[in-house]
Amino acid sequence: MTATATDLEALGLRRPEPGDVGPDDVLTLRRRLWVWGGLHRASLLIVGGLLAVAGAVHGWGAAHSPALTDDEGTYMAQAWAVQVQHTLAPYTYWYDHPPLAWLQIAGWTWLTGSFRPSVDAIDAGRQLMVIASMISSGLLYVLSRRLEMRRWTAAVVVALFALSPLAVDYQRLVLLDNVAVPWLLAAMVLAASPRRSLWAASAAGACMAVSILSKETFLLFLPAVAVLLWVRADRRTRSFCLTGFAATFVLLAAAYPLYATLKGELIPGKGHVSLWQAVDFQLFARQSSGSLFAAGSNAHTTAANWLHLDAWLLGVGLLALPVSLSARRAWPVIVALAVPLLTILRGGYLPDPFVIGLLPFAALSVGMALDVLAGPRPAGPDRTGPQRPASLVERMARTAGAARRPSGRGALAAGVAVALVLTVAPRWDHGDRALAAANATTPVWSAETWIEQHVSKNQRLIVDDSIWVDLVEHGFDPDLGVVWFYKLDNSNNLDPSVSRALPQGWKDFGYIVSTPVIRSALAQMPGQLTPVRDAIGSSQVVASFGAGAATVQVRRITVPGRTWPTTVRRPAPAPARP
Amino acid sequence: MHPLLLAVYSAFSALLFAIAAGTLWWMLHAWRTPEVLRGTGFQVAQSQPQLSFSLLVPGRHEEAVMGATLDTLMASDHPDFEVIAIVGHDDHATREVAEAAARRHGPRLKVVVDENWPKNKPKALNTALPHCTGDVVGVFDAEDEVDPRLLRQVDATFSESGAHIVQGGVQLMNFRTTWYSLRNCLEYFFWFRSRLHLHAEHRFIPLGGNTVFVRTPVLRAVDGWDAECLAEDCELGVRLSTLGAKVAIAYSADLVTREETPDTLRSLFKQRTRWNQGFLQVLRKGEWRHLPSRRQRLLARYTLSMPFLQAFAGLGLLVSLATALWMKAPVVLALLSFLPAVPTLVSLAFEMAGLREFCRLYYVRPRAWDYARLLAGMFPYQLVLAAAAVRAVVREALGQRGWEKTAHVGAHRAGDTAAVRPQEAYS
Repeated sequence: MTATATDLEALGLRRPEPGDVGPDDVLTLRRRLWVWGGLHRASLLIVGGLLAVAGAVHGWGAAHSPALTDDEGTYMAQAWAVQVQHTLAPYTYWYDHPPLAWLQIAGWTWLTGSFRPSVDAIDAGRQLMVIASMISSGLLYVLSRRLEMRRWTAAVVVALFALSPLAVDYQRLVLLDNVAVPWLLAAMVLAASPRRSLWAASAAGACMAVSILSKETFLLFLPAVAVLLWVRADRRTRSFCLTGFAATFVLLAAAYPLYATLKGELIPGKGHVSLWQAVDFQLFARQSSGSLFAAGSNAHTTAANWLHLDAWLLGVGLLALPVSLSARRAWPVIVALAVPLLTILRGGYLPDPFVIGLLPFAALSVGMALDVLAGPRPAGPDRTGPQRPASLVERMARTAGAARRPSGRGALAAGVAVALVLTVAPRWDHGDRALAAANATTPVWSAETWIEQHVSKNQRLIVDDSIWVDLVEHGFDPDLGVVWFYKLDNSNNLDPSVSRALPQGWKDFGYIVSTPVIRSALAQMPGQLTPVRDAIGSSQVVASFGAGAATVQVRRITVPGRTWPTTVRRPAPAPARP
Repeated sequence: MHPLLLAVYSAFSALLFAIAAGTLWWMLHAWRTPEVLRGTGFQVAQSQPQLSFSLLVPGRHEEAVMGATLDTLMASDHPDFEVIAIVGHDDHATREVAEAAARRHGPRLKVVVDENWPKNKPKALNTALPHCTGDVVGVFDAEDEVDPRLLRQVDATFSESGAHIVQGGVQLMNFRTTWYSLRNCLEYFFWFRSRLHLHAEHRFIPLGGNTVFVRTPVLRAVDGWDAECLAEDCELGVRLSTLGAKVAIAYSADLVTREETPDTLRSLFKQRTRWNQGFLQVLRKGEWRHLPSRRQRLLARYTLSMPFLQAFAGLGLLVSLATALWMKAPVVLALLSFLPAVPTLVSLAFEMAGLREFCRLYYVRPRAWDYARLLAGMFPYQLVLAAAAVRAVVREALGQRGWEKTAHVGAHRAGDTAAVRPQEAYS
């Protein structure tokens, strides 16, 4: 170059020198965090307080109440299989649910080292569920705020969601739905991004995919997320945002059928399970739970159970829907409740945990109705408007200057909220205290301890899923040493491996542990599970724990003419696993 | 499966994924948020004309299109500009067309004869630089269709932004001519509508070959174009970026310079080889190392290594798919093999959104057939690009630096019925 530095300078250019600093951002991370914290200090205080209370209510007594369920045992056993056996299930994985939820649970148990004899597996799982529900509560607050709700109505949403005895009860259980909810709420928080960024829309698609790969029924919430994205997106970038959302969602969700394809298990074939059959079973073959309104039907019983715990959250949530119908920002909440509810009314199989996905939206519906009732918000910081404020500092300045005028409608909404709180508070206080004080799990764990001390490790036992992992951790053989009771009757599942390996059925077993889970399964499925009925019929109680419906009995099976005892036959010692 | 092999393969898949995802993310820069979209849109500048322009039009064997291009340039509504047609001393046909145009339009259209041998575009431009009298030098190709209102807008953009360089939009238009032309058009669309703005924002810009305007003293201070570079436009942009030059992008669907796609797959392939090789030369020349910030250097390294990365990604994708389909690999490994395909498929989805946007901007009704061609063309087009990238790497390694030219037939001009002979040209 012939030009001198002076020439260049005259033109507004300059030759770079070593040590020059480029036009990079000057705000440090620390400074940004500080500004962010200052901007959101009111919300941080509110959420912090709510989470502290909710954490105490959820965590206190989670190990003892509610009673252990079969599903919790199943998912913990599958997480155990992932961590220990590097397979998706201790038995043949037959695509009953996508595996992502228990892969996440396995991540937790691996991190915390939960699979050891001194820890009850389901207790470890329930700790994760308490954390998940705390995350959900936090996300629900952010979502409420992003749906342009006031701080106090957002706080009402979180309080309803976190403190209803129905929520406390179900959210403690190790269920796939409880893993799926935070991902669903994260998807909605991202879809409601105030910057309406393409990145957020795509990330929302990813979170939604994780959610349905954790629990497939969450597909019912896809319309709500799509509506949210649609109403929030800017007209000019909408097609790109929807494309980003759809593309990431579809491609990630496609990993599941792709997995089945790679294993050669997409479509039915001789001698293997298939995704196709599993979907067919879940959607069509499964026995309908009957009409919600027919007394005595399974659906009716399930719903009555929910409402028995707390009828207020779902009830007020539904009643509040029409109030916010006119507000565009409420549409996603309405769709999120309407689609699953219509699915219930249509009939078909109604799984008990179905209510878990409804809870955040019932709470949102109440909060949204209060917010709509309180009227339009006073002119304040508009984070959703077309102008993105230049900086965090500027936003902070605007927030500080926002006028706060009390209004008549605001007082009305506050009055309704206070009345609601005064009505539910005593009931919920009673329900939550009961959940904290009850002890429904001790008989099961006492029975486990007795078995570990009195039954030889080479005995073969029929158990329900909830004690399976604990017995395996104490040395019983996971491979046909302890067996899930319903595997004996494969009319109710698609895995014939157990009946194939044990052609004698229940006669190959030495013990059966009769738990409330097994007895209620027998009661709910008359005419099925015959081998389990026979095993109980041909056995005597050798130890009993608890009383009444909660009784757990260890029963020794006697078979006339059988060489006693029946022990686990092992062809060869299994190679040691790392 | 050996854990080490699994780790190596995972890293390989993750790398391919990262390359494709990074390119995709930058391709979508303009649509990141509605604010970015507005900021990258064309702001109608209001200022009165203040600058004078010298418009350079190098042409080699362009007698079929040169005359019409000079006529449209002379039709500009700007009050103060000159046009300089640059022709080779051995190219009599083009020279005649240019001189005929000069007779029609008078002294504001000059013809400069380039005596250099062997010939290339940067040498032609450097030959004309001393003849420029305007405040700003603009470059156009001989087949460009330029909007007469463009210069006023560029003038106003210079005044209002204080930029050293204004890059105008260029758009290939004939998206229904051949199977690859749709994809070629969309590439231009994403590049000029979106990606260039990212480069302008980070102050590292590989300039385009035409509709680019530089203040004349700036151009003279850096001695014009690099005569030996196959991507002289890119090279100039990089050199000016290291000096901290400010670039403004002026993209508006109304004012873009319209061009045609290469008329055969072969010429597309050659053109792409030349660009890639040019990028590699700029990479090797290393001016970009003087960029002040780390982020800029990273962006520069990535952008200029694109031919390498593209060749690597193209071959890698084939390896991945082969692994997934034919090897009896464990399921986890097979799933990993599909990872690099994910951004490619996401790109396809965004290309569909882009096609819709492109059609909306240019008042064309998209047909289902267009979307089908977009889908069907994805894989073959990627292969052509990857092959051109490999060829560029090989040619550069072997020291073959000859100038391969693109033929123009005027397919972008509606109703052009003149019998034209495909010829070699610069662009």
